[in-house]
Parts: sequence; C-alpha cells; structure tokens
Amino acid sequence: MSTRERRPEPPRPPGGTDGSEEGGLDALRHAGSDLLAAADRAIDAALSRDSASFLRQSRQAGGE
Amino acid sequence: MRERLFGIETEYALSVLRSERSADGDDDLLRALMGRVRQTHPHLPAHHSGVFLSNGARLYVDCGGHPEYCTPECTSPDEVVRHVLAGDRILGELVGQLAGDRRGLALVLSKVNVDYGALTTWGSHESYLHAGRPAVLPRELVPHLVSRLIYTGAGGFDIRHPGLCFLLSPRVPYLESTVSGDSTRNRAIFHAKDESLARPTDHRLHVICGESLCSERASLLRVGATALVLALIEAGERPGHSVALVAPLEAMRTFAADPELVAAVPLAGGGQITAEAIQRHYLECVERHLGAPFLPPWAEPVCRAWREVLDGLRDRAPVLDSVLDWRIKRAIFEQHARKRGFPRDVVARWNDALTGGVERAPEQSLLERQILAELSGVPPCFPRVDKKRLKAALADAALDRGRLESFLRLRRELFELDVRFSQVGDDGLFARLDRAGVLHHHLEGLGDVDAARNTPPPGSRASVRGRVVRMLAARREKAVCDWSTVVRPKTGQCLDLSDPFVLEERWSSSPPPAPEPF
Repeated sequence: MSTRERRPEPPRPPGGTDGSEEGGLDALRHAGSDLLAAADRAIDAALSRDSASFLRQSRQAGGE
Repeated sequence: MRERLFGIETEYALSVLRSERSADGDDDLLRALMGRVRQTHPHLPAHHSGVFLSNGARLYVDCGGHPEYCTPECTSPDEVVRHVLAGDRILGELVGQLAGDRRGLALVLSKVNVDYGALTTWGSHESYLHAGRPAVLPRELVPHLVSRLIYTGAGGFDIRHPGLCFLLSPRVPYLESTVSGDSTRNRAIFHAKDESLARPTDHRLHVICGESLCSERASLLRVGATALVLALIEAGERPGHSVALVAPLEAMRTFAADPELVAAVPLAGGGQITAEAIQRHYLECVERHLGAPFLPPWAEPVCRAWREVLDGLRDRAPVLDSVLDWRIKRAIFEQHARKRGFPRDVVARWNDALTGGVERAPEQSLLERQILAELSGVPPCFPRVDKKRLKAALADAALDRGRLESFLRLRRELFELDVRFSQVGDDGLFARLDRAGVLHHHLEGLGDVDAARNTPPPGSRASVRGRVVRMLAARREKAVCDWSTVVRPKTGQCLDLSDPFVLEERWSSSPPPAPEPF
C-alpha cells in the first residue's frame, strides 16, 4: 500500500444520474484512447519481479 | 415516486508480502487493523462484530480473514457508488498506516474476488430492499443476473483451465446451482436468503453472484439496472417470463466465457437468445414504464446509461475498453501477452495443448478439489501434468516445449495483474490507468467521496445511525449498534431503526428486540 498523499482526482466526464442529457458514453464513442500505451507503463510499474512468490504470499481463504 | 434502498458489501483481499520474517501473523494484523479503526474513527461496536461508523457503514473482519465494508443504506445508484469508494479510501488509509508501522511488510489490499492459487472466492454482495413476493423473484430475476455480466463482470480467468481462459466474470465457476440459500458452499445465481434487517413486511434481495468493480459506470449499472428490474417485479410485472432459460447456470457459464458476445443459449419457450438480447429485453421493459410511480426518480438516466452500454457492446465500440472492468482487463492483458510473445491465436493453441496434456478430473466438484488440496497441501490450480500426453499435445500443435515455462510465467503474471488491477490505492493498476487519464469510467455528479467517509446518506435510516454514532462516540458512551437498533445500556434506551426510511431518532425504554442474525 502506498502511504503517499492522494493525488487530485482526474476530471469527470458527464454521464451520471443527475439527469443531464449531454455527454454520456455516446459523446465518447469515437474518442481516441492511449489505453494500451499507458497500460504498458502501468503494468511495468505494478508487476512484481516474481509473480509466483506474489501469488504464494497473497493466498486467501474463502469468505462470504 | 417510490424510493429504493440498497447497499453493497465489499470483502477485500489483504495480502501480506514479507520481505523479511515478521513477528506478526495475519490474525495480529487484522486485529491491528480493527484497533486502528477504533483509534481513528468515531464508531460504535456492532452487535455481532466490528464497528459501525459515523457514515452509517459497518466495518468488520469477515470469515476467511477478509476485511469487509458494508455501505450504509443508499437511495440512488450513484450514492452507493460514492459510498463504495469511500469504503475503499477508509480501508486503504488504514492499511497504509499499518504498513507504515511495520517495516519489512508490504501490504496489498485488493478488491479482487478470487484466488487462483487457493481456488477460493469471497464476495461482493448487493442488498436491495423490496416489498415484492420473494417466491416469484428467481423466475423473474435469474435471466437478468445471468446476462448482466456483460457489463458487471470484473474480468479474470477460469480457475478450472490449465491455460489462460479469459472470463467476463471469474466468480461464475464458483456458482454451483441456480437457487440456493448458501453463500460459502453451493453458491447460486439467486441467493434465497431473505433477512430483511428491517420490518417484518420488508424483504431484502441479497445478490451474491456479482463481483467488486473499479469502474464507476459499471458499478452504477450493476446496482441501478438490478434495482429497476426489481421495481418492475415488485409492481407486478413479469419481465423474466419471456426470457426464461432452459439451463440458467450453463447459460451463465457460456456467457462468461464469451467475450465476443456472440453465444446464444436456449430459451425455455423455444429459440435461442444472447446475453445482450436478454439485457435489451429487460431494459425495454423498464423503459416502457418510465414515469410510472413505482420507478424511482433516477430511472431515466440509469436507463440511458444502460442503453449506451448495450449499444456499445452490440457495436463493438472501442470506447468500452476504457469503461467496463472486463473490457479494460481483456485489452491490457492481451497486450501484455502479445508483448511476451503470446498473441491471442498462440494462447489458444497453448490452451488446447495444455487441456489435452494435463490430468483432469471433471467428475470432481470444486469443493472436492478444494478439500483435496487442503488435505494434500497441493495448490489445486496447478493440475498434475501427464508428461507424455503433454509432449504429444505440444507436438500436435507444433508448439515448442521450450516455451512452456514462458507460457506458465505469463500465466502467473496475468494472475498477479488481476490482483494488482483492483489493488486499492495509488499503486493499483486501475488507479494508475485512471491517473494517466485513459479511462472513461467516471460519473458526473458522483459527489464528494471524501465527505462520504464521515457523512451518511441523507435519505435513509443510515442518517440517524450515523448521527447517533457520532454523538455517542463523542461522549465515549458505551452502546451497541446494529442495522435496525442502537442500544444504550447506561440509560436503558433503545433506538428503533427498523423502518429503513426513518429520519428521526425514536428512543424508547422498551427492551431491545432479539439480536438480528447475520
């Protein structure tokens, strides 16, 4: 877990339940996305060097 | 218009990564976590375990050692999304503080719901207050629950598969029946438990087949669409009748394993239907009643968001790769596999070869495999390999045996990434993508998540509970809280919160009702 201060939240596009007509997913239909480029960087930063060890240490009992 | 009421329980996975041997066991950490909550948050002890907070939520450690946050009772879908996020922040900060106290420990708090090594699962349950006839619910609701995973699925992998089989909803393999009252074994699509935690005339629909989500839009639809379908049923409509399925559990498994969304399953009335068509049917049933007094004020914007997502899925709109949890995961997991030299078609060939090359025991139920694994200490996700069969299968598929370890390493990496995706805090994969500004999942008008950590929803009994928690905690007065009561032994008074919409304190000197089961 990070203990850094929380960064400012990114701007929120429209599309909630406040009744606004504008925006929503339709407005973003053709929006370009740099998802995959960003994902490369994010995965490199998030992934441990030893996934087997990570999975072994993060074993969970069942719940509910 | 009739108000609806609902909430979400989030069971978290708290993992302890030890870089050096720590004196603390997991139980010590969970005790320390709850101790930290009591030090830092106004609270009252909950009757059964854990605490109620000043925002009306309950926080405790559930079976299996999972910290669980139950939102207060909310009256709109965006309110419940806000309170789920508030719970993430509360738990995230607490775990961050614990990690800061204990050098040598790295703690990972994640909203993932499955463990690929231990074959275990834990829940993210939804509760919906309703006044309908419980007996009609399975028939009317099951097709909705079976098909909604096309937008509510968290995305992940099939624990039963020796290779890499992506699922829209990784909890589906843990479901073993269509209707059941159990939640730790024989889990079902429809959970038959009906504890109202309110007045005898109230009912509570408890949905256990879902998963925790990171996307605000998907979370909103998860609750919003289900609450609207429930409102229809409560009003006497029969939206499930024409989409009743021959085999709901098999249908759900089929839909979960079909990221292209082309699979059709048999209808009880004849013919076949896709998941998207079932969802469109339910949506149109709700839309036909927009403006009716039994629908809540937020029905129209939820229907609009619901339709947008269904249209996007039908049209294969790329934007959904930045909106829905399972679509985001699928896009970035596939890219990671490509980067490691395993594009989709190559993964499919490895899957075929491994399926043919491992010793399978299809006659064993998941529970039997879990028990065997527990007894033998062998993680059940790593199936026993028949080397001769595997060698032959790899040769048939023209695959290089030397690449097997690379494929298995990729498999482990993707399992880790699934945990990392929903890791709470800045280091989580979803959080990193969000910060990079490449996701389109946010909701306008969601409100102040930080404020929701201390402020209850204004339109339900949670507002009274939260106010009383704050007042009594400030006085350090010993009292015990439950969903429908607060008891003050010092004064002999009992606060009745059995009316879920009560907004005023009604203290009485009468003895408290019998404790609620939980």
